[in-house]
Amino acid sequence: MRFDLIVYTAHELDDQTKAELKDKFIKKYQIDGVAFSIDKSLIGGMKLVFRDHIQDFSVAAKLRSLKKHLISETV
Amino acid sequence: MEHLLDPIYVGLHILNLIVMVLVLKKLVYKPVSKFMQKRKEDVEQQTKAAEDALSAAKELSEKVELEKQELEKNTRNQCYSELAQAHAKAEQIIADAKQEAQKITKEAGEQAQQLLDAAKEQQRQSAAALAVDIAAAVLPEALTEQQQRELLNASVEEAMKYEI
Repeated sequence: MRFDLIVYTAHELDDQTKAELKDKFIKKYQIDGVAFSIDKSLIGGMKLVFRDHIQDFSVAAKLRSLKKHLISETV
Repeated sequence: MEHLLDPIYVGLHILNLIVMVLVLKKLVYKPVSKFMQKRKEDVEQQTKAAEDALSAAKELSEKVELEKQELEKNTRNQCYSELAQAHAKAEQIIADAKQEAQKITKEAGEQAQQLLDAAKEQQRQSAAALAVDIAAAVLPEALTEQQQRELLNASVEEAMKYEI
């Protein structure tokens, strides 16, 4: 039991999906428990918030990255 | 009349004339001749002096004329030289001005091109940002439940590859 984790998604997940994800993340990250929350600004995908850091796999994060890349890239 | 034709009288006259000629020759002719000779020498001397002066004046005049010609020649040459230098300097100034004008024109063109490129780049970035913003605004309503599920599955796969 090393970390707690909050999983943010753009839409409410059904209980089965939540259970599957909880099981996967507990095994993967050796954490104590997983909570779920909704953040519509994510658009799609999900964002993982650990105790000491955040890992964003959402569509909004990918769009932000794409926008940053397009603006910084010079022709 | 008879008295005048008297031979003695005539002889006396002739004798008188001869004596007078001899006396005149003795007393007058030599001094006058000497005076005339001296006068002639003076005139010749003055004439010679005048001729020498005239010759010297001619030489001096020729010398002055030569110096005048030389001076005119030098002045003319100097004028030509200075005119040529002024012309060369003017040509150089015109060439420099042309070169400077070309440089300014080139720099202005380059600056204009840079501004144009910057404006194009700004426009491209704005268009890209706007496209992403539009996608972010449209996607939440446009995504179907199935697509939402696929996105979630993709992010789960990505999360499973992530190591803490």
